[in-house]
Amino acid sequence: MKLKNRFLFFITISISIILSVWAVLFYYSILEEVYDEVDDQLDNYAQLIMTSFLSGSMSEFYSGDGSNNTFELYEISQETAKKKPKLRYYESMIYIKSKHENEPARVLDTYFVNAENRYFALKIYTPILETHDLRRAILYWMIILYTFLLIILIIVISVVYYVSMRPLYKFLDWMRNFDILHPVPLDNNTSVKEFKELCVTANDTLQRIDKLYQSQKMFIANASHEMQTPLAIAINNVDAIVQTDLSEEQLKYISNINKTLMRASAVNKSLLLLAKIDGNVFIEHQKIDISEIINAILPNLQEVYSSKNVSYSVNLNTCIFDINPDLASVLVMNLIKNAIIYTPNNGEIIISCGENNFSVSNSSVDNIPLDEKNIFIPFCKSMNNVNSSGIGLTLVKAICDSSNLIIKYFFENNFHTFKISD
Amino acid sequence: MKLLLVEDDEMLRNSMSEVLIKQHFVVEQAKDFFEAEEKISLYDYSLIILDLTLPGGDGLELLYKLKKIKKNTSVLIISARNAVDDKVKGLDLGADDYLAKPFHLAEFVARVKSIIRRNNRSGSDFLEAGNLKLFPNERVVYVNDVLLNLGKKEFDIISFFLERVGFVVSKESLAEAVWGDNIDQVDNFDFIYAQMKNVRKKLSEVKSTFVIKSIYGFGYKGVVE
Repeated sequence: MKLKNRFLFFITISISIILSVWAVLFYYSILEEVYDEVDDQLDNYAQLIMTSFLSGSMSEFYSGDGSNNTFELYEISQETAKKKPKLRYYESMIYIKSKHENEPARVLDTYFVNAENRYFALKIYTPILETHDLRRAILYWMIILYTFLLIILIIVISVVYYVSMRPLYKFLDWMRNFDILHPVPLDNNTSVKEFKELCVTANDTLQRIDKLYQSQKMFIANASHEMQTPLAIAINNVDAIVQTDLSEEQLKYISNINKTLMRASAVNKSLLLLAKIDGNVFIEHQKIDISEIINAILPNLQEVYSSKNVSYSVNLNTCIFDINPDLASVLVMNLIKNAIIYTPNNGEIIISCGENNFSVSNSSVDNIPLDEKNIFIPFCKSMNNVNSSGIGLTLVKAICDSSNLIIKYFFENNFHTFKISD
Repeated sequence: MKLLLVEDDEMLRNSMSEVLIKQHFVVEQAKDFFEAEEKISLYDYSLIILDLTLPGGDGLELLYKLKKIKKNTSVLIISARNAVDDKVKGLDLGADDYLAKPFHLAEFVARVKSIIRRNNRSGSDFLEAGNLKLFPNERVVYVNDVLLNLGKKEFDIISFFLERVGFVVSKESLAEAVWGDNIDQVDNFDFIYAQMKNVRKKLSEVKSTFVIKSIYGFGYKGVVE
């Protein structure tokens, strides 16, 4: 669940429950106070009546004090008295003469004893319609204010949350769009200490990663470059030996040395090329027709590998890519050469070129698909061919990556196929 | 012909120098920027071979200076950097050719001779050995003034050996030069043997004194008999 939703959900539930409990308690407390007040008044009135009665001056109290309070005073037997509770409050309906109707009233029901041990029951009625109205009003306002408060609180909390969390979402965005090839530092202007720290740490990490990456690239480039001169010297010395008179046996070993040195040199040149592609040296690009490049390169390759007796199906239409011309040649050469090398003798190669894609397929030796995870890794050799440098496909992938082309491998009908598309 | 060889690696400098001397050139050497600068300002040379990765300064800077004071000297730049930039900048600054390390000495000699030839002859440019004449621009070969009927690859092969007369070259180098880069890594050189057989047959048919000998197990050598 998203952080914001989870937060708001729990906050809303908690606040609702707490406020509800509070509201209920508050409501009943108020009500209790209101009724206490009414009951206090009834008590006072009862005191007055009992005092007047016991002292003999009752007349003023017969329902005529301006309020709608009424009372009943009558004698009861001692046994009846003993059965009653001493003091009781309850609600009941009484008839209000001046309004000609029944209304709710609060009743105080008690009894007392006079000097002659005679028991008198006293019931006092006070109308509480207004109290009921009050009660309704209180409830009504409580509900409105409760809802209002709840909504305001949720809104305020949401706003505070969003404003506080903005740096977090900015950070998430930055991480999502992070590209090691084009690193952009995080820019988060915030006064919150934790987010400031997050920002600083992120930028530091970014710088470290970038430095590491650059130094790796430099290392490979430098290492390959360092190899050039020693290789050159070795090759030149072999050259010099060969110009002298050598026996057949000597020539055989010299030939091996020469071949090996040239292979090392080729691998080295490929590594340098890879480093240059990664280093974005080949920035110039133009619209190139791949089918023309294929036509230029294919005849030589076919002649060179003619001893394998491979059959070629070639279907070329104009295919325009926006790419550096040198890289385009390397791309095509490596793909086709790779295909030929890994085709068994008497096998088949299919090259086709369409509007925005081209593909090279070769029949498979053993009907086993290549492991897609490994094929583009440098020097990950298949067992079939010792002579391949192991870096051809890596170059192909690097060229595709730097020219915004997509390369796909699939294995179908016993054919390995590489397809490059726009 | 006096040449100046500017290269900081001693072993390489010596082997390059030796091979040039064998070709009857007079060779002066410089091992760093300052020595080179000094020699250039004092003497004239037909061709300067310039290594771009020099201690004491950038070879390209030296090239720039050189072209300012001695515009007509030919320059062959060599570099281990293998940077596209170097080649473009160098040629822009007026260098005649660019050769990337590592290179075969035979290749080096061919380039040197090619530049000298280009800059010395104002008339028609041709390569000659024995009774064979090859015209690179017209792509034709004459033996004793008889025009040879040659396929594209056959012409390229003869041209290749003419530029390296007297040098043993490996079949790998031949493959790379005539069939293109990356072609040297093959198992099977039958395609070369087939072409070489044709070429040698055609040359012997017209009794050419320029012959391509086979060096068993290694490659070939073009010689004048």
